[in-house]
Amino acid sequence: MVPSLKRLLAALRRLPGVGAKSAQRIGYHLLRAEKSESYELARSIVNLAERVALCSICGNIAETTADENRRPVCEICSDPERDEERLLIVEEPYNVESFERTGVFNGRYHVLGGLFDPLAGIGAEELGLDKLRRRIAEAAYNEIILATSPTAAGEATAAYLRELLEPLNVRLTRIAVGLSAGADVDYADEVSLRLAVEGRREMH
Amino acid sequence: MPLVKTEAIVLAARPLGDTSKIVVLLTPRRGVVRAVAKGARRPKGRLTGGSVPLRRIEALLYVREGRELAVLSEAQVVWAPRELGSDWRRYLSAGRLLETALAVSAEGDNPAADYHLLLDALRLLEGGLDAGLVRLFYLRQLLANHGLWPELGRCAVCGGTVEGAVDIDIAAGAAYHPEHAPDAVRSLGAGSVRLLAGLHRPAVLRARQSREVVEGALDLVERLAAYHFDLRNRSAGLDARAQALLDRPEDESPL
Repeated sequence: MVPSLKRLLAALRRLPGVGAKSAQRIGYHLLRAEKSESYELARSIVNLAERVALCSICGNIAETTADENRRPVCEICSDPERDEERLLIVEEPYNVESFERTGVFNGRYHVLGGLFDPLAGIGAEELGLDKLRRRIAEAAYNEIILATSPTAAGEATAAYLRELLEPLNVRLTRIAVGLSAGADVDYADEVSLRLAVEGRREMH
Repeated sequence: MPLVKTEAIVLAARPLGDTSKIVVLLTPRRGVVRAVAKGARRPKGRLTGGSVPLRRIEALLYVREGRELAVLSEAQVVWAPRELGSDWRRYLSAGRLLETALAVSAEGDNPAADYHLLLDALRLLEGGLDAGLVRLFYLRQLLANHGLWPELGRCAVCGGTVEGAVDIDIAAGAAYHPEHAPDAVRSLGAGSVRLLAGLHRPAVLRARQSREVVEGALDLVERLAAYHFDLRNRSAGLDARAQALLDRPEDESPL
């Protein structure tokens, strides 16, 4: 195999979900395809590395500008039409996309960049929760929605956030947990079932 | 390809592709087992609930000889410690236990003892016992399971019984009368010695202990564990730093 192709395949294999076979398939596809396709892919990857950073306000993905002195701000933070009174706290930038797709939330976001993870040495400091507290203290939110996953890590992080943000006297809510839409009760584990029963609501 | 049915505690899990996970399990017979849990990241996956850290599961594993990774075929959740999630302090303490179990259990020749010890410790933590006491109980017994717990009641120089306060040489794993102790030993107060001697008794665990006594004993077991085991201790200090942020006035937080 020629060194250039070998290098490409090695780089592809480092991507999540791409094994040896997939890397080979992609590599040979690019060899056969129009050169413009490879150039476009290469340019997109370089752009991603050079022009995409974390939003300086919320931690979401943001496009940087040519002005190096200007801090990156994401599309949502710079949108004046968004609801200024509600803030939804999520784990990762891709969670923002998931909530946006639902169309039920039009407020602001804050991306933690992870959850409490003792084995990885990640706690309150590493998640920058002091910065989040300052952000909330200086804004006029009516409601903070904690949308971390209903795992032990997600619940523990949410419990910490509750303790951190309670003194700010702002309404704190937690997303509902239990059975997912379309799930079969027979196949649900007992933890999910218990949470679903505990989180039941009145039928109107 | 042997099929193994075993109970297990999920020590850790990390994503594998978009839909699966690699889980690290502590089992009573095979010690630490790493396994692929296919589909465990899907919301409705069969393995989703059983591949979450801290949960105790009934697992069905395909263990392939010569392969580093087994395949998790079934995972029935037997116990999910709820309080450990709803209380961040207990969660971080539980994480420290898992980190220690992960580091230590690869070395042991009695995985069943380590497994049941971790389960006992997690249950105590879930039950609301002070996190420092639970860690003390865990490390003390873990050192004993691995034959590394020093005999605190007998002086290594004169062979006489040591009562009350004791001096301990961490590296030598020996205790001394204060007058026989070599240099560079740790002194342990009488209260801490009594606590360490009675940790296996539920009444001692449940009794009110002074902070000084617990901290003295904990300092010793942490030092012994750090000396004997290859602990990474990434989780150490997370709880103290999180508490410090809570105690800090909000106007001192950076923007």
